[in-house]
Amino acid sequence: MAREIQVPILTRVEGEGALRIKLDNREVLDVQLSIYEPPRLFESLLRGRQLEEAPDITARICGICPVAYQITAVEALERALEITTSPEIQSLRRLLYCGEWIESHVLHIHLLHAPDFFGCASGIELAQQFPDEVNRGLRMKKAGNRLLEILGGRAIHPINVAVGGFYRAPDLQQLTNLIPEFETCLQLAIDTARWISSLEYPDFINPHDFASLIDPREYPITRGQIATSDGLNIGMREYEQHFAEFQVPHSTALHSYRTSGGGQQVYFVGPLARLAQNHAQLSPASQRLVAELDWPVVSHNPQHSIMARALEVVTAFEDALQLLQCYQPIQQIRKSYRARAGEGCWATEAPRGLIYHHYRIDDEGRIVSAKIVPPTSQNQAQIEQDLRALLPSLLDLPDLQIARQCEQLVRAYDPCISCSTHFLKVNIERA
Amino acid sequence: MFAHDENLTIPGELLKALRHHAPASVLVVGIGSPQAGDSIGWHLADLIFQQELPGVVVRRALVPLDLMDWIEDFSVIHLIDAMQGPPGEPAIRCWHWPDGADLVSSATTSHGFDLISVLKLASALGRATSSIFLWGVKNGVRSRFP
Repeated sequence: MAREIQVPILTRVEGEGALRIKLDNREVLDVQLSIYEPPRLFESLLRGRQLEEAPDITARICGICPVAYQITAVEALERALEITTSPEIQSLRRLLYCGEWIESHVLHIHLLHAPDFFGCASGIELAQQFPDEVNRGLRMKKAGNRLLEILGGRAIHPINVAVGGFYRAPDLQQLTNLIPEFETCLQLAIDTARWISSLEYPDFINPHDFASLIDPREYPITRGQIATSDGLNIGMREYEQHFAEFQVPHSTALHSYRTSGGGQQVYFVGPLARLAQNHAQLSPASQRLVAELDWPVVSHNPQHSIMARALEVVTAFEDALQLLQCYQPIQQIRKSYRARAGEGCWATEAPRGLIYHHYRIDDEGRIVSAKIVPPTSQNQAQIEQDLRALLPSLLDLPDLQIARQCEQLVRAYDPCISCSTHFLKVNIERA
Repeated sequence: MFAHDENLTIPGELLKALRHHAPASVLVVGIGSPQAGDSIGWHLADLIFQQELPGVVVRRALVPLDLMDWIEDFSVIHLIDAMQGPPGEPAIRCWHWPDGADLVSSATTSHGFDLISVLKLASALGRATSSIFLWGVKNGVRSRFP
């Protein structure tokens, strides 16, 4: 018997999208992750603008991960200008990015993903059952936001990131004052990881081709090589030779595939991919947790993403603490440059995964072309593939339960639909 | 400051309430964005900031979840947000939380956390201990005050 199951609005994700599933008896006919949020055309909007506007314009793509857009944009533009920033500027950018990882991950862990493990319909229901755990999460989120405010000027859509560095140096005392709270929050993050490791995880496993930055020097955030679990290891300038975006009829967002082997192969970006490829670079406290909990750092269970996020929060707090303790006022907060025609690209690790920017600029510093590939766009095809793999085990369930479990799988990816339109309703058809 | 109706003034009812609560620790939060009708919360917060009212801290919030960072630090909180409604209904409405808990957000919000959800979350966590007033203001409202 044919059937179509719909979940009108996918909840606890950022942005608007729909999921449509068509089933015929015991066969999955089609799974479509439809993003109907209108295209936002940021790449076209950037054309003709001065390069200095790029970090603030691209930050507007996302209210949750604006720093990812800003840092990737300025790093790409600095390659186009052929300027190199100092190690001190690089450290400040990593520190700012740590603040974003903390606030984004902690929000997703406590208010978006964890409710699924306790049958709660919302973070509010979870808060009624686990007030201490949720309050702990909100305290960590506040610390991340405070760091963003001090370094970025404000927590949402920061305004201090500039091509060449920062517009103003952070106040030493304000940064130093953060240290005691970050020391407390590091312990809270460790306690959170222990709690998250104790959740009952569904045993769904689907082999993934992970893609992320790798960096032998540190857990990758702002720099590194682009690597996949099947052995690809390339510089950022080679990204477009191996990855390409394609239009699909059912979505306003582009789908990104690996194209290097011919054809179109799906791949997986995000915390699970980062952890699988970089667990040796986790901070010491995170590594001790992995050993203590005997946690599988290479996992192909998408629901384990929540634990990957929890470990990354520990690493972000520990790294941030080290950077805060070492910070000394920077003499030259912004490197000067002269406009010149050029082309540059860069990739960083947004909370949701690999993000890639590519710009061409003219000799007056105007942007001639811009290409922005956000993480959710790269994960869409992978989410559809995971749903196709999950659905055969759910066919005997009522439509409502199928829809709920599919929705939970999508949420494990923490999709940012608004970013990718630059995405959810679930609709299941049984033929 | 951002582009908006330059004739907009602080609703007299709100200003009166702010003066009534001072010198208690009072937080005024304008919720919104720089865009069109959604900017009214920020715009009114800016106007209140310029009044330099004693004991009154004024902040802008882009997303209601920002409120969770501040909610325990003040004894009185006024939240100003844009409001939609049919012609003929009051241009300014005020609810003293938990009144207003059945209000429905018509807009898509970040991760589904609209203002009412955030206040319910704060209540569930025992953090909504302050006296919280919700001010809904229709765009284009004029005030005869102060």
